[in-house]
Amino acid sequence: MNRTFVWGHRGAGFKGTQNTFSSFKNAIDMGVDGIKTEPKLSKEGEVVLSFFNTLKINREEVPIKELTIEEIKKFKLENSESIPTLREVFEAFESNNIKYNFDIANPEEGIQIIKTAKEYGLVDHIELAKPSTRSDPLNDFFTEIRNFDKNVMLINSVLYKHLEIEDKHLELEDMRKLNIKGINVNYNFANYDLFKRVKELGFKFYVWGILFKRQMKKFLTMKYNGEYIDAIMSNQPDRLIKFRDEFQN
Amino acid sequence: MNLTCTGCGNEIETLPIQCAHSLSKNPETNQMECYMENCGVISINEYLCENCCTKRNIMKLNKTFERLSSENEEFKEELAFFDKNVIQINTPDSDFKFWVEFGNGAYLCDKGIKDNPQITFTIPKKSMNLILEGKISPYSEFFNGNLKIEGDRQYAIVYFDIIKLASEINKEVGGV
Repeated sequence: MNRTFVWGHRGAGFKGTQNTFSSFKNAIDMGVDGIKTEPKLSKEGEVVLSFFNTLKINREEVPIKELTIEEIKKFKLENSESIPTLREVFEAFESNNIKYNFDIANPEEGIQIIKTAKEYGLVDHIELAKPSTRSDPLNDFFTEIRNFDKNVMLINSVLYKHLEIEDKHLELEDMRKLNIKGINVNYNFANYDLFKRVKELGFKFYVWGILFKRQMKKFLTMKYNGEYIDAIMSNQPDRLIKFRDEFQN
Repeated sequence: MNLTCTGCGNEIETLPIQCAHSLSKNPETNQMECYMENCGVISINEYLCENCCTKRNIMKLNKTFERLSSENEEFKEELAFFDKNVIQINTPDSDFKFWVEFGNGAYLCDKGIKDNPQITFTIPKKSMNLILEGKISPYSEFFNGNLKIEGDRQYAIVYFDIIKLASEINKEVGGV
């Protein structure tokens, strides 16, 4: 039987400063299976990991894409660490066999991540996701990436605008055409019927945003055809792992 | 009969439908009373306009969650998993402002302005009231432009999750 895959949001979630090397390390020490993070491209096109599009330098908000890696590395986060590059993270956690899920903002970010992952032989360890705040059609968002790489794992995070998620919101035709493997929904919109429907359609079912014990219990014990939900993303990955060990023996 | 709002002092020109339909005399107190939906039954001497009623309801719901955070072990435990976060809520349709602080095992709130909030919401008070009552989705309000968020949106999502949890627990323990 499967066990639910646990993604640590931006590393260890709300423990420490997010999207930092120490947060990633903490998450791995907690026992996460993967790290969900956000990429940005430097001026040279190198991938760095940050949620923010800009950095406040000399009281001015400067877009990361206008800064070189050297300039980005000089910037200190609230815990005094630098913004990590994707290369640093791949190298540091090479022996930990973890996966990475990236909420990308555009095809360029996705393609650059694939190129970097190829250098480290880690393409099968990465997933590229359309953020749940984006309303772009899947076809517009993912076609360039799929044309660049036929195998990279793509995830459709469903826009969390809809009160109830129906088939029309899943863009099933494009999911099949673009070989998108999974559907990721906010826990407020996830339920057994949707889980069953997604599994019947042949996709993986991810749930994000889970924070509280009662939700963790609900989704960690939800089963269809003897299978648990494929993956959960949380800002409290340590709690989620503890309850997974308790509820999924 | 001219009615004056005991909250803002303005003459009440339009009555909320549910109130006008529910005006009755209390034989025990010999006073006129009105059932103002979420404000409950109030004496005509405490009559509020719809605007003040909404504001009062927002604070009443928040104070319920505040009390729950000190009385309910589950809610208290969940709030202990967060560091302190301050949300400032401003309403574009009036000068009504309030803040909520959650984390470190507590949920606190009050009218007015709190310095250095992590997040600021700008939202019509009617929408905020309906979100707190669980009648509309904050996400719909965000996507249709009624709710504007300044700051890291992940903490806004956490806040909405917390009020949803508080409402669930409150119903389970038989609260209002």
